[in-house]
Amino acid sequence: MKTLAGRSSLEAPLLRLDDLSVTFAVGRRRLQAVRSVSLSIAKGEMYALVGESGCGKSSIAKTICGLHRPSAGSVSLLGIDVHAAQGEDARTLRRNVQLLFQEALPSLNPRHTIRYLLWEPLKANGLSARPDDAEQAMGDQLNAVGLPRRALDKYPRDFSGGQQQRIALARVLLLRPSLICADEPVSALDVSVQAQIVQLLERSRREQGLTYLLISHDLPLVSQIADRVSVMYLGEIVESGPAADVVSRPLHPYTVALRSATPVARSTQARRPRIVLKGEPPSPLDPPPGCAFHRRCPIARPKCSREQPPLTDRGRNRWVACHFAGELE
Amino acid sequence: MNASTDSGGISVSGLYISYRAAGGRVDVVRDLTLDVAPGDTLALVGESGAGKSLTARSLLGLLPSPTFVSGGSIRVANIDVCKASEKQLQKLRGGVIGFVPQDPMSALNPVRRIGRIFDEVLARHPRLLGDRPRQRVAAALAEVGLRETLLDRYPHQLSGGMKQRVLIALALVAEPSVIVADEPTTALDATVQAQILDLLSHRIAGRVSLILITHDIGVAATVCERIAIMYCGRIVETGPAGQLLDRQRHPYTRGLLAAAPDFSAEGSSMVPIPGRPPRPSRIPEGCAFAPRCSRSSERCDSLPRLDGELDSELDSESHGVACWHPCDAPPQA
Repeated sequence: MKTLAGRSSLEAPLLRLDDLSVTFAVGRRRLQAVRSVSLSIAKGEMYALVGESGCGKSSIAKTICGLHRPSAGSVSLLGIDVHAAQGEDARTLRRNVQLLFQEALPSLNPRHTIRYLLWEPLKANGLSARPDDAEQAMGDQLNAVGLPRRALDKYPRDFSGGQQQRIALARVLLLRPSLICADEPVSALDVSVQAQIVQLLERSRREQGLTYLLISHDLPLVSQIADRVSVMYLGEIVESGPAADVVSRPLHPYTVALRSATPVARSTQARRPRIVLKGEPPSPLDPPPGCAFHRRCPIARPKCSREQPPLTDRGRNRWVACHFAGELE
Repeated sequence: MNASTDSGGISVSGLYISYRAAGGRVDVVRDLTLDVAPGDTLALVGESGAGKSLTARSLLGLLPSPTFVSGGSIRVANIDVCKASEKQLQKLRGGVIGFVPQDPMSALNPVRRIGRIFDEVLARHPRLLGDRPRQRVAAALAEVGLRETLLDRYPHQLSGGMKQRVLIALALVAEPSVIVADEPTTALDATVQAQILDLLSHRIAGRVSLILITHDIGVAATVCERIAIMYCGRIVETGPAGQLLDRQRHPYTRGLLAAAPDFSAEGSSMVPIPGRPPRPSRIPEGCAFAPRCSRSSERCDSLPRLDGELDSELDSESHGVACWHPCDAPPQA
């Protein structure tokens, strides 16, 4: 395996992506949203994918959940190939991987009560025939995410954004999944509420041994709660490693720039000179030759427009795809 | 009359913004006073529902129905916005105050070329037409780092960052003395946000009076000299950006900073503020933050006034707080 970033444990990983590529047809052209991504996530881990719009992080989450098919490579969850599974295997997988969205409200049918909304996935997965059977479990789960039992009789619009996200989380947790793909789960919420939801995610991980794939654009958040992180640019992983380490000592110039671009509410850091990248990410319909980042990179040299740098082991579980990794401070 | 308005600043005094509901009048902005002198920069920071966007829109006389100004006064460059006629307001918008909206994706008419959109703005301000309008547009585009060739394009042909630059250029083209920017980078990616913040802090701030509306204290501190923190329609703390960040006085400001993730390795960040803000119709008589505050006492049942540190009057340099038990005072026994 040439680019299996960060094999941290000897036991079989819960989730494994092998040379995963995802391609979409746009008219007659091919848009390569994900390009040869390999990674493995151990049980109980919080693994973050970081990057800007269009970098492929959400496409990966959707492919893991079976919503997109890979154009090459494979996804295996619990040792089963997600896209080859059939019958009982496919049903088991579907229950075991759940998506948590950025905004809960569009995922909650406004015409149903919370009771029905929590029960529906249980029914779909053959776990409960009637809402009454699950009444106790649904109430307990609401309590666990900090909502009263009487919320069961209300409708989604009766709740604030943070409470709606709690309901979405309760609905996912009721299915006892192995893996939750959380796509920007707190970025639509106010700061004071974000921290409440993050605490719930961490508690569910600790108490239920849940594994999280956290999709986020928020480097400070990732450095606080993720174990490992992969930074993506134009469909590829450009840097990966232990989250706190990558964020505090980034080696890829893109990660350095991303960190520097993040406004921090500390007076000493807020006004320090930042690296301001020129331009915007290139179109995945027309990726540049060589390193995809070279046209915006402050330290690019001629080699970068010719040769694509491979994801290379830099020791201590750090992997970087850059010819001149570590040169930009 | 305040000195800051004489030459193009903003002076808001005792502003109330309200709507009518079944139970009576509901105030969403309460007794808000702020002054921005020409060339100064102020960030209004708060979470959803704090009243910061309504405050911004009231400066342009553009409050969305059913909200209205129910008290106080707004003066922008010596014009009384609350008493101005619609004709005067139209001159004010764009001509005196440039507005940069939040969502660049929906703010530009998709069936007009960019050049035509500029023409529409110029046509609203006849005084500009005689004065070689093309050059004026070119200058505004250059200011935000865009080329003139872009005038022939349609909005969908531009990226999000370019659209936001176009909107800033549109706000600048009539050479207003005030710019109001409502969450101008919230819809943008981090590296593009950094470009726009760079543009605002190095090219725009200093030339005009800038009011920046944001939920992100980090963004506020990057661009603005002064920060005002809003909670439930009131300013609860205001001061020079560096001072306010180094030494938060209001427990809400301190809570906001503790709740936001940062790069520190201590691991103790992201402490949530318990509970959530009350609905506008149920804001308590006294301090609105008291029910969520660990420092609150019986005294918080009455409303704390926004006071300066040393003297009771606030001036543009002072660091004021509306709290009976500010964080720099010893806690209650």
